[in-house]
Amino acid sequence: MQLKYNLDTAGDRTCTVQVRSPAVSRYKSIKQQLTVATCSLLTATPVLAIDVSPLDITLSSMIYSEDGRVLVNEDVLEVNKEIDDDEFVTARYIFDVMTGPSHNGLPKIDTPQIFTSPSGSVVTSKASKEPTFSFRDTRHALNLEWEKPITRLLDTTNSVAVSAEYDYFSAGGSSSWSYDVNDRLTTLTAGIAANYDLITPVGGTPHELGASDSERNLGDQKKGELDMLIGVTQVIDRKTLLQVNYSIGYSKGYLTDPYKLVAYLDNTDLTPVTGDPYFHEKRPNSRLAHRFYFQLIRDFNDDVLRAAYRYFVDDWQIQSHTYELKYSFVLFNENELQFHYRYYTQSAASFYHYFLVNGARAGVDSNDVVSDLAQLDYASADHRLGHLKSETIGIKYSQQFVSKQSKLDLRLDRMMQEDQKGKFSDLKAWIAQVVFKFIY
Amino acid sequence: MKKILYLVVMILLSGCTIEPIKPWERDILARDNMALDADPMLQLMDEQIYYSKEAASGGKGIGGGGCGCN
Repeated sequence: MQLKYNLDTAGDRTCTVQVRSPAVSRYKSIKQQLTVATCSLLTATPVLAIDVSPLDITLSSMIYSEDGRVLVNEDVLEVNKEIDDDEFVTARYIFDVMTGPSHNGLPKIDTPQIFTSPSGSVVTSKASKEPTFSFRDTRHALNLEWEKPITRLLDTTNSVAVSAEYDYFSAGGSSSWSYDVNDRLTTLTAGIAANYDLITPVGGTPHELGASDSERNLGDQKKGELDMLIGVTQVIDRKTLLQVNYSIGYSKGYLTDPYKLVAYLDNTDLTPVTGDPYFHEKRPNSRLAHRFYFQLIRDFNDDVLRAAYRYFVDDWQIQSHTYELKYSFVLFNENELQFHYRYYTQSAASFYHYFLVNGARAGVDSNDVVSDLAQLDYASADHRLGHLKSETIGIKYSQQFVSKQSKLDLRLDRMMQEDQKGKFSDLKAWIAQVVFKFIY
Repeated sequence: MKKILYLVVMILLSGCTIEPIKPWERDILARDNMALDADPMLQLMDEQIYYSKEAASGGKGIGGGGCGCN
């Protein structure tokens, strides 16, 4: 008698029972009994699996700490349960606390700067230092996800999410589908996501391009986003996977940051002009972005290399390149040590200015010269829209416990951002995170 | 950009035709650390941070955002 039982990588069970016996009648009853017993065992297994399906629980705590600026603590509780064969539901709750001074868009100049904060108070900044607004906020977010196989080869994941801060509310949903072809060596993916955001700035919504001390009497603002993605994941060989995605994103509505200002300086000495030297930024009310993403995963005798590249381009004239490398060393008991490097560059948005000046001056880009502010359609001095370069180096250690029933991840990253043009100050931050996953 | 896309397509095609693997040869690819997203909780935090600090976002998956990040 031969009994073959195979559990393939996708979790699909196949069973073949072959009984070869002499053509003797007394063996026929044994054959029948074996067949009945085998089939009973196989049909009973999934029922047992459903009854004892445990909860996968993940706890995470992350600290993001900028040198001298923003501090964020983000805690996550995630519960995942298999409710049927390969069908999962996941609930995730996120709680953030954000505090500290955040750059408000004004440049570093040789004299103190006097401006009005969102709450209406008059602030005087120090000379030769980029001005900031201090803030404190909390965020609660809930995400529910349902992953269900439609057929043996087709799988779908649907999710809804809400997020609430003091000055921001967001609700969204997504649906993605994956289909295995080519003997399950190729997976085709498609997805769509939509978001609706409501912005209620502290102190009211300011007038775009209006003076910083003008009345902030505009009402709440709205923003909508639509994302679509198609992708292919290909098994290259026994040790190599390649993932390729293309996605397109469209945003419409209030895309301006209500807390960012732009400075208007005198070209003779680069000091604030008399009158209204600071005004609120204004961005276009739509944005179309394309992203191409590639990821290669390769095994090297149990160690794993991950190499990823993303190209991003949008109609604000921003182009960016992101390169990411992760190498995991497998240690004793399948514990892991991972090293991580990320390199990011972007060109500036067409309406980005570190500051604006009222006349030509040596060393000042002609795009930053505006003789009359009424000529401006859009303007922003947000460094995140500037000629940004960012590097991150990091390390992660993963420890398995008790027959792989639980796992602890510890990671520490250092992020360093700088202006490729050498204008705005560097931003450096530590990212520390602990993740504990266990079965309950 | 065109060269990169061409290279990727060539690799994909070679993967389809040169070295197809059998179901029983998927032991390595089935390991947790070979998953497309082996550290989803770290990835979640990274996406949130870089979404808040850079002009570009997304690409690996869909959705994201959902905050008025400073």
